[in-house]
Amino acid sequence: MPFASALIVAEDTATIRLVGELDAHTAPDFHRSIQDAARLAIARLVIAMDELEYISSAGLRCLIFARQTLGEEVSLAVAGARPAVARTIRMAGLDYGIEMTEIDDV
Amino acid sequence: MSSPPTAAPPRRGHSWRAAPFRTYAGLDSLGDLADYVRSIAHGAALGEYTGLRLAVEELAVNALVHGYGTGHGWLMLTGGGDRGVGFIRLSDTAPPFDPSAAPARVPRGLALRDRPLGGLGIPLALAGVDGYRYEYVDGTNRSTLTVRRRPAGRP
Repeated sequence: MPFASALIVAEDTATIRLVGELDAHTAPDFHRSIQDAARLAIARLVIAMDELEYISSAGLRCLIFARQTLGEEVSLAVAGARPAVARTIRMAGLDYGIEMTEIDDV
Repeated sequence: MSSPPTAAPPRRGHSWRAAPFRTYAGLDSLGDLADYVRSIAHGAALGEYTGLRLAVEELAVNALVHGYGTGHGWLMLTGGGDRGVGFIRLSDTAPPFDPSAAPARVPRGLALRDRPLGGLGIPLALAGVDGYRYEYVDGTNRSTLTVRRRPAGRP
């Protein structure tokens, strides 16, 4: 499935919906979506990963970038990560700094 | 750029080797590398193979970006299986670099705001496989990655 990163804004929450495989080739698209979200006056950024099939360190780097770019007052959550993707996020220790939720919780 | 060869289905439980895959790769070739990993994982009946894919991709990207320094270069993959183990050897002709000698620890104790953006690739690569061996032979970096077959449902 081709990679896609789409930014959707509703009230004070922005959602970046990821589809496909997030690797060193596709990560720049995700990075741009984060930059776009960071310019918005939002209280929460949700990364919807229920349709993301794979994440490499390039994608993880984007998550760290998101946390460092968003203001302290903006919460950051990863929603609906599939088991293999969630396992990679945990291997990198990012679950300690980013809320991991079910897709239905956002 | 060439396409990954289609490995003949191996007889499970027997030692087998897939055809090598050699390519002048860039970051847009990662899908081809993933196809090769998938064929080895399928042939060796590994089940879950995200760790092997991560390892191959992270080491390949490291060679392309930091080894060759241009984001492009020659890579060769060979692979196969033997008695419940799948293996892939990744070779490149960039300057010598032993990933297993690099700092390979995820900085778990640091808050995300204080963590460096980079440095995750090699720790993830080495954590995702059961065995890793580095050699530098005849001007070539060789990383051999092995993964054991796991019962269904176990990561």
